[in-house]
Amino acid sequence: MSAAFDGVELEMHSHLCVFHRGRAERDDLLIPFLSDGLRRGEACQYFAVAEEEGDAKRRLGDLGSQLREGRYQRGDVLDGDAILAELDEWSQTEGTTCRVAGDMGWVGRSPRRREQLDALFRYEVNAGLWVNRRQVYALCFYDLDVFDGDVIVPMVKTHPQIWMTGVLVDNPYHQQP
Amino acid sequence: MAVGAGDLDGWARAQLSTLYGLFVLSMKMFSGRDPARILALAATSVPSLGPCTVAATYLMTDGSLVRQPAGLPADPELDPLVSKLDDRGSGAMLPDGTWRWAFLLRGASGLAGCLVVVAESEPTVDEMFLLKVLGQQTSAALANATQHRKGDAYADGLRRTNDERSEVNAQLTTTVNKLRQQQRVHEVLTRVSASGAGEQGIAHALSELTTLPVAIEDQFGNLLAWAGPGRPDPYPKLPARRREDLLRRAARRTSPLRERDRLISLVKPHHEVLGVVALIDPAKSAGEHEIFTLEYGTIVLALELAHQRSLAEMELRLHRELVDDLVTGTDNDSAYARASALGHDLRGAHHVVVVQWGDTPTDGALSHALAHAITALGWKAMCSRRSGVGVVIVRGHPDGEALFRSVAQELGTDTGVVAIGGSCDTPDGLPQSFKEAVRTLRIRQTSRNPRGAASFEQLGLYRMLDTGKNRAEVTSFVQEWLGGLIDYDNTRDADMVRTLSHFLDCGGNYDRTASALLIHRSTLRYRLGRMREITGFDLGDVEVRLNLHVATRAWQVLEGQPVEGRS
Repeated sequence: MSAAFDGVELEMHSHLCVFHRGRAERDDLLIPFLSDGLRRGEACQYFAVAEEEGDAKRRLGDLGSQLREGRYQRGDVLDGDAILAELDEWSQTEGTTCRVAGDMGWVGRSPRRREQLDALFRYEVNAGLWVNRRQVYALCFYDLDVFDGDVIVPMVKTHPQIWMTGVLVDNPYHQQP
Repeated sequence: MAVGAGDLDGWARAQLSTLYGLFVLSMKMFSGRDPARILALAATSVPSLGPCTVAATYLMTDGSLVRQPAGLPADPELDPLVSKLDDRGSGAMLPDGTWRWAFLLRGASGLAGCLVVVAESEPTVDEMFLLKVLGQQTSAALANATQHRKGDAYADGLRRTNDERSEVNAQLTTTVNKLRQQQRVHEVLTRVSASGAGEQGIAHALSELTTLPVAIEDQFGNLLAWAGPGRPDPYPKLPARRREDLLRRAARRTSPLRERDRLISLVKPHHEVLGVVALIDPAKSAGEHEIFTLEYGTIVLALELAHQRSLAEMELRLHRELVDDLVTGTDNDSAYARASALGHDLRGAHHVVVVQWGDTPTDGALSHALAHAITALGWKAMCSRRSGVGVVIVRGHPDGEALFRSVAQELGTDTGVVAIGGSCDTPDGLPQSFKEAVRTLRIRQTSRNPRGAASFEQLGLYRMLDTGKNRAEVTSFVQEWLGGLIDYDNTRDADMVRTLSHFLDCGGNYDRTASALLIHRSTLRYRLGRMREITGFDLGDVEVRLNLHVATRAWQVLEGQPVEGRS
């Protein structure tokens, strides 16, 4: 049985860019996605921003203990390759369908440096490749109240599916390496 | 995913996905309302569309393009160029080889802003296309924001109008309720006033309208009417000085005066205080409605009391006119009819009584005191006033001393005379009774004791002796016959003249005389002996005895003493 997001069925290897407004809308979308996966016995990992560490576990209640929490920020510039390597090992170890979600708010508000944006772009493109290789559903949450055009336009380019204002649309022209 | 997308080359995919990114960006732009934020969003997007970066952004503010973010210093080179751009915008290659282009952002209502981008070299046509799309989206979003702002302003205006209307409606409702209450007050009090229920009816109406006990007092603090529970018994009355102070303080105000547990209002139709209306309000709960009701009730009561006063004055004037006519002479039939119309039966014995007080403050005060005294004595009488003299026509036989005491008490002084004329059975005898009363008044006023009551009938023989023109002869006659005894009494503080007067009035009877004088018979005998020694008169001589008797009667009148044996 495939996963669902906001009432829409997802295909395996889905890699969604979710443009939401604020924390409440994010949680309304995120928590049902994770709890559904945990109930099915799937491995779930969520990358929270530092100030919200543990929030998702609490919101998931009894299921929260099964959730794995990851951290994106490991330095000034994103080390996407290291993160993806860990994710790959984790998905292999779990040996089951995996759900990964990340709040990209850690990137921070404008102005951002060029190398930060380039690293983010590379990470998302490579994440798309990883998702295609493993039994994974991946959601990338971008808050429209936080991010401006310098992040929004490139992130649209890197995701094959975009969710915004309650609509999930395909992006057949997303960037592939 | 759509079939065939993979057939596109890398350039096409990049261009299309960037366009898709612009589409997502426009959704964010359109969901925002702040023009500065929309422009900032466009500016941050520029680097993701190609090699350009943003040199400056401008927003149309009060008719001119103002550099953003607000507060940035003006650019003396760029700002004038931007302000002169035409509709299509402008590009230029600068001396240092950099390329610059200004995109004018034009909305439905004209120029809304400007986006100036720079690059190390001129962008390709494809990159320019994406920048122009961004500019168009930004223009549309700014126009949308302007419309939203107008819509918001319109909605705010409507909301304000609705709020104002609600407020006006609330005020109108309050006013209507207040008017209804006042209308009820008006109706109830007007109905009571018209019903002739008087002070008591007004007090009850006020108590019903305010749900508070009500007291109505006269100007002196006497209770005229009470309505509601808790009537004090006896009703408290302030001392005169404190009462006057209270009335003075209340008169200085244009609204009711709070005095301890009472809210009081003066009944003062003109300059004279006719009474006081008080709401008994120990909880101090009286509000605007109660105060309005009290003030309106006071007005109604003022009309009522003024009307009563007017009627009383008219009745008094009619009384005076009738009394004046009766004492100057009028026909009996007319007199009976007019007196009957005023509620007085002129048939039967009547006397004219005249009253004059030496230091009466005003004629009004004497009239007032006289009216009070007559009422207190229960006399059937009519009053008038002529040249400072109170004139009363009394049915029956009046007690002059009682009237004197009562008037003296009312006025607080006994420096006056009450004189009673002779009795008459028909109105045509009243002028004579009046003359007699006046004559009695003058005789008493010129006596040695010019205060008290005297009647014409008591004058007896003196009426013939003193006609008003021969007082000197009367005095000389008294002096001739009684001078020795008067001098003896004056020097020895004796009582010879009075003893002689009683002896003669008793017809020379020793026992009756001694009893009347409350002395022993031997004392009387001694005094009579002394009289013979002093005067040399023989009391057994009829002629002497007559002259002495006349002289003692005249002496009594001249002394202002009650005539012995006739009172």
